[in-house]
Amino acid sequence: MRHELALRIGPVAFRIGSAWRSPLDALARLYAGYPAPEDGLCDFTVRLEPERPWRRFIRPSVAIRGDYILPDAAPLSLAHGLLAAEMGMNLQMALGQRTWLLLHAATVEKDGRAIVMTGESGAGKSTLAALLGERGWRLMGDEFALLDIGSGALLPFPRAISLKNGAIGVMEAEVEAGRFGPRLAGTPKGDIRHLRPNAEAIARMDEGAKPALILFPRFGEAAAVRGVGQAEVFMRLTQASTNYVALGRRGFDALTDLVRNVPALAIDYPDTETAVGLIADFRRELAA
Amino acid sequence: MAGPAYIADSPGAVTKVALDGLAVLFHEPSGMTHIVASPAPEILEALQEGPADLAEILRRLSEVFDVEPLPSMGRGWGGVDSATRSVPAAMPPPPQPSPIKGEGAFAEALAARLAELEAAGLVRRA
Amino acid sequence: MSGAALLVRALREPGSIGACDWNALIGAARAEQLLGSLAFRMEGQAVPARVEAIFAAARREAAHVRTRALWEAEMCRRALAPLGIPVILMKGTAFHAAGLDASLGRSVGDLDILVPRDRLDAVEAALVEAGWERLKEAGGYDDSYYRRWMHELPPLIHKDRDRMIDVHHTILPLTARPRPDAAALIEASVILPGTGRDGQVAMSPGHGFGSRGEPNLPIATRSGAVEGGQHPAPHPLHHSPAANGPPPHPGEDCLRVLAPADMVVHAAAHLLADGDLAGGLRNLWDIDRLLREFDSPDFRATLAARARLHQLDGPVARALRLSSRLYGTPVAAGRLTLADRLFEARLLARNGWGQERRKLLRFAFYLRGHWLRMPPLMLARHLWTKAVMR
Repeated sequence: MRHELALRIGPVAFRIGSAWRSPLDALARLYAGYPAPEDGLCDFTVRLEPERPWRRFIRPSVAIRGDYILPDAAPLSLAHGLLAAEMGMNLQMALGQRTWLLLHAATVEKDGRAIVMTGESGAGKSTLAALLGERGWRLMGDEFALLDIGSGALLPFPRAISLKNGAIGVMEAEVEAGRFGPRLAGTPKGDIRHLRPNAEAIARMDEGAKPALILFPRFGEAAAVRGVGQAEVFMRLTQASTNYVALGRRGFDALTDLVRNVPALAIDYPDTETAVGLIADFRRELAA
Repeated sequence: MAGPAYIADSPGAVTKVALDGLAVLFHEPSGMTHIVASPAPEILEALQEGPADLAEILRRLSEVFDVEPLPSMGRGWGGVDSATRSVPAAMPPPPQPSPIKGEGAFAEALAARLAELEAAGLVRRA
Repeated sequence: MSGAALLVRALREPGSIGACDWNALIGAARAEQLLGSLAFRMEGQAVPARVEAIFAAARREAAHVRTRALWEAEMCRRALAPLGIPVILMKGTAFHAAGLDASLGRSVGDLDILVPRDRLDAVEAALVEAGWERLKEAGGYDDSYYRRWMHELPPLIHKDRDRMIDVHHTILPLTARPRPDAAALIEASVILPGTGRDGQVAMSPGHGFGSRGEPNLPIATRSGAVEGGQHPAPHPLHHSPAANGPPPHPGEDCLRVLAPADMVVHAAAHLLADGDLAGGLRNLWDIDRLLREFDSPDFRATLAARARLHQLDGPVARALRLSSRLYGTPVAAGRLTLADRLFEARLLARNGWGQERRKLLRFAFYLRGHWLRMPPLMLARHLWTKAVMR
């Protein structure tokens, strides 16, 4: 491939090849300070390619390909090349990860205890995780939680946080400009801006943590907290996992252990500050 | 007239974990996970004694449950949810009328549960 | 060395790889659906830690793939048992069910079965009854074309398990020039141990389920026992076809596979007489594994005879030459022809990033694939009808 970049994020190493230089330049800036894979050895390959040969130059159209491909995926414009690279990495994890149980969740950690926040897209997990990451919590990841099957620990996977629409302004007020990627307007999900996790998250990307709480946050309701039954937690976590089925018995054992050993709460919150406060309360209770 | 006889796999084929009132089953031969409510685990247990048709299963279960047949069940009661992938599982189909006349509503619900277990691969016809 | 060439070398001689471009090897392997096979071949070789983790994950996944494939076969057996007809597993699922070397790390997508053509409607109805669904609208032009001329029903997908089943009645489209003898395929087919009326799960020594340290692969039997590891019995695939089990009889409730020579003929047909060679390295690897496992003077003679019977001498001979050339299969294959070299180039047209190269060559084979499936007059009519329908 004409251009390439290799990145290590937690335990996973990617190589991203591209027919154009700009997406990789943007990616390199966004992931400044991240380690390169040792000896260049990578777990997954992402390829940004022209949809058709002539689309490399004429109305450039970026098809997201790699080890794992979604056959009907629509290509992106070159202006959104950075987004294509991010989506490509997500795709490889979602379809190809077989070592850790993957949960579609944001994870933050303090004092060795990790809180896993999972739920539908748009529930505000990324924003919550980003904010907590600036309020004394260590961000372990905003997209995927990696559950180690043998030990039950969570491993960090601190990718750039994907902020959408209103959340962009919220974080722009908290974080210095140098940690942001470009503002990408007009994506299918509206405006997107990527935020690099802070120095602590990057420095500690090899440090796991025990899960202490599973949270199902729901944005837009009056503040409320309720317990969630274990069977419901199990069901919702299988729905939040892209590789539960592929892991067979090992996945079953890991998930049943998680559900039986870790409490779960559903919280409704009208704004992120309220949620941050609720989570601080939980932490005090867990530490007590 | 006896209906079809059913068989379940041996206990080693299924790992069961109880989670607040429901049971999560890992079925080794299929690699699939199922979330089930009573009487599905009890039906599987009852079939451990050997192949049985609906009437015989009813008889075995009556030794486990209290004598009174339970009131008529709604659609979602005791359903089998197959957590086979990371998308919401389909709702179990509504119970079909049982061809076998048993203890009325209980037998009908039981026949429906058996059909679901068969579709999930947890029991099969002998 | 291209990605595909590196992959071929690693499969053929795992110890010869040494310090190579691992990213290219793994990229090509994934693109060719051969990572699982590669991972088994490379087991025990000294490789960097991250690479070993990738291979270990692939080997674990292979066990799961096997379970899912055999389960589809079992659910198919349950659905079709009342019909009492021969149901013959094919391709990857057959390799797994028979515990063949070709099954090590073999990925499986759809379940492929072969049934008698005159029972197709009954088979489809029974599958639909058991939860499989048609993909396209029944009755449209593509569907009727498919049913009339293809060697299989339009694919069905199971509504709960989301897995596809392809029901074949012969091994090549009816529009292709070679006319394999479907009845002969069925007559020579072999009953799989553990799926017949005797209800005992049997394992063959040195093959199959328990011998490679993998989890046992239970195929549910009629007696209800779903455990592996019971007494080994002679592998029926090693008997000559004539001695293999009774011919299909009414009330039969078991699963079968093709006779060994027919398996190789089918693999060669699939690779060379149907389609454009996409995924060819994997098909050829199947052929290499099958040939090595079955090889004997008797087998070579039977293979030649069956190839002739099915009018597939050319493809089988070419498959032997290509397999010998790429994977070093110890068969008497003869020299590569000029055309063979084009096939070889097409098979190796994959780079270390997983991209297909050699566009013109691939396009030529793409055209060939269409031409193979459809004689020119039919092709014209088919395209005209499609144009009119737009």
